[in-house]
Amino acid sequence: MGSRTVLRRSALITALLVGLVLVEGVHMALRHLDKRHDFSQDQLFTVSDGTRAILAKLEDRLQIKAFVTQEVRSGEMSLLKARVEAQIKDFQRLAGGRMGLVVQDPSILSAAAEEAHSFGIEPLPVVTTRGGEQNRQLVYLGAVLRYRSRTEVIPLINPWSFEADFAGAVQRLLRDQRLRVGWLGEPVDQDSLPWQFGTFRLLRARLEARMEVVDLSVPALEAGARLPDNLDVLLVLRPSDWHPRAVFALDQFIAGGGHALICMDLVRSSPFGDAAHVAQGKALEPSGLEALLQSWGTPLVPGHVWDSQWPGDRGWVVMDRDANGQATERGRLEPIRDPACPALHAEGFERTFPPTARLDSVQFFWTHAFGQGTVPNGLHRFDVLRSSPGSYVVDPVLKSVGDLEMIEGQTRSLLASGSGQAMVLATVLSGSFPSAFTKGAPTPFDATLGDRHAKVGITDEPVRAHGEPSQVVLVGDCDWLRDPPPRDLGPVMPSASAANLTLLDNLVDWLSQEEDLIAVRSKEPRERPLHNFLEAERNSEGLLATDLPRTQEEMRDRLARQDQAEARARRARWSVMAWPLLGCLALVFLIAGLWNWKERTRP
Amino acid sequence: MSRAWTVFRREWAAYFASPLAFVLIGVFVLVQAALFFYIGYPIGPVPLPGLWDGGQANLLTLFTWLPLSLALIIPALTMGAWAEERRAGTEELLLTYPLRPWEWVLGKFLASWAVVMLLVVMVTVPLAITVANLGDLDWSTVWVGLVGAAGLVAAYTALALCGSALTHEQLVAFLLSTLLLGSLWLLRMLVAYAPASLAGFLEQASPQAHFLDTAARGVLVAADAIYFLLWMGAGLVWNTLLLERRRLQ
Repeated sequence: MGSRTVLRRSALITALLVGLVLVEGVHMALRHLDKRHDFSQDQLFTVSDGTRAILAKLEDRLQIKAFVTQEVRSGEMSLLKARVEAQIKDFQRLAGGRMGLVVQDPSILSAAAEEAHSFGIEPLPVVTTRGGEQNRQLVYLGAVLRYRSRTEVIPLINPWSFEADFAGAVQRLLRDQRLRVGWLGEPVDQDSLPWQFGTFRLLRARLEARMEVVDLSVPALEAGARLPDNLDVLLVLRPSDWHPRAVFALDQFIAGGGHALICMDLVRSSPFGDAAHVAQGKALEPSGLEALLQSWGTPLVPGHVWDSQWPGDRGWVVMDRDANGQATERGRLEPIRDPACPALHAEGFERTFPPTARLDSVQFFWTHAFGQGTVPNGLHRFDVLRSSPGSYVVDPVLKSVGDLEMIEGQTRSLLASGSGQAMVLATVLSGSFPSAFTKGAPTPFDATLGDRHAKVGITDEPVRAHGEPSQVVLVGDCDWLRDPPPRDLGPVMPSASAANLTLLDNLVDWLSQEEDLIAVRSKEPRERPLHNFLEAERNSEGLLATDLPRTQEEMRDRLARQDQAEARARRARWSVMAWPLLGCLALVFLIAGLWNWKERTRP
Repeated sequence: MSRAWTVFRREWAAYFASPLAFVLIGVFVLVQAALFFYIGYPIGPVPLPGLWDGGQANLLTLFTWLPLSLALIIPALTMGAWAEERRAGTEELLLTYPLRPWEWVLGKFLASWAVVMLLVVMVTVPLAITVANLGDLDWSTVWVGLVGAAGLVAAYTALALCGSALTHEQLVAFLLSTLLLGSLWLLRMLVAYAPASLAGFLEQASPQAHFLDTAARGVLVAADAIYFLLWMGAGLVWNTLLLERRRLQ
């Protein structure tokens, strides 16, 4: 046998072996497809411990009916569908046989389409372009979850937030009844127009999607009613001029182990200001809770926080002027960075507190701070949100609305005083709350009879002096939860942004002891902002964003300093980019050169 | 194996004997840095901004460029590996040495892989240091991204060496390899235009799905390792068979 034949045979055998290896490789790949390890810092690509914990609580079978279009024409949509299916398989595996899955295609079964419709699951129009021709297909991607006799619906599965939606739905199914949140404070104005964005429709809808919201009335509390004991969380929004009897009801609710989120605000904010309001001396409206907060060791500072380092975005009204320089009635909104609207940076969040552990941005609007009082024995205070170290307390800033010069002057004089410090914008109290009404329950207030500020008597009703362990979160602002303005208006005022609502969800879940959901929700990639060279240089030059030159000389000086700051920022950027690159290049060339030289000179 | 190591040393020295490797390293590092800092990744349905525009401390833009830039740089580095031997007439001499073809193939592959990995590390580490100086960089994604890049480079290099073994013209070898690797890179771009029945296959066959969706984000997946090993194995075996055939001829 010639050497050619031998080689041909060995080539043939090799090819066969390679074929076998490839086939086996594919099999191995399929077998080991689930073998993965997530090394990322926050385990963003792995089913979170929160979801695992929730699935581990299943005692009976969780039945999922997925309404999914099987024949999806769009390639991208089919990949998203595959991703969702893979996630459901993961959940099934983690549920350990306690999760069943039925898939129905409403696109081909009219009965399934009707059933999907009855659950509020509607198809999503997906447009694909092929050969210059556009095709529109209605795609179903929803699910109904059933557990015991309860049902939860995910009308449209978003592959990117599916885990959080799924875990939330299962968590709700696991409870015998939906979470009950008491709503105490400003009523939601359902009839307000879109541009009247001062109400809480978005917040209300957000809560109602997940829990039962129980409307509570301050006048009823003032008249002697008590807060229901079966609330999971009580949400108090901007208490204003509460009668002591209403405060007593709150005090007794908390002493009885009730959990509360209280958003304080002494000013009824308006993005456009209310000069008449200020002129009447009504800038500050006492809440009525002052004594209660004092008794907890968390007095509310009446002034507003002025954060010179972390100013937030808002709009201010600039009135158009006519040819004579007179202000007309027409105005426009211009963006401004306002120290009275602190936009917290990562350093402002307490990282050991689950609701704020992974947050990086929350913005307030004319917020108050909490001072340091004497915290009673048995109660623990834990400050969770802080402004920057360059913060000051100023007089109520309602009158500053739209007045850029006042902002500039205020910032200058505050900086000159050098007394800035970080302020506590939200704090958590936990433990056994002593009652502030040890002398007895105040007499109820009859609105038809007399002056609400008249001296209050004492009744012989029983008072819980020390109660069950409880938790209360105090926030120094209420506007952070108000409806956002229409997008086309621009940054009018800080409001219920996505980040703000995430903080709210986290706080409510923490207070209702649903911490598993916080862990799932925090799987959003965290913000990792870069160092801002220009801002650092501008700060070092004393060029505040709100500075406005008054004279031509000041203008020239400012421009010159601005140029210097920009040049320094450019140089700093270049140096931070260039040095590591050049250093590594030089090192490699040196090593390669030495190695080459060694090889050449080797005998 | 020691003979493959000898080939490795010879090839490695050959790379750095000419200024080509130095020029390529310099150009690659500077171009990648410019793309990373200023241009971003403007290709495809989800463009990524440059570092300064995006303002986020991560290396995703750099890793997203790797499958495409390596599809150009690896053919440039490996085009001469076999083609130049054939053109210069040294291939016949090599085949008379007491080395098996697979040892030649393995040695050349390892040398090319090491040079390209040096390039990748040269780009990644300084940029990671820069970004870490500017913000809170997740270093685990950098290290896992480099591990994933090692697999990607191995698969690409093995296939590009086959392109070089197919011809005696370096330019033709470069074009062949670029076409092959570019086609692999294009697979994912075709997903948007493909019917649903083909989309899954295209996605699974594309190197991006096995690098950008997993290792570049800090996740190591066994299936990705098998995917890259299969391409690498297929490339090395094909290369060995090509060499065997020539020895036969």
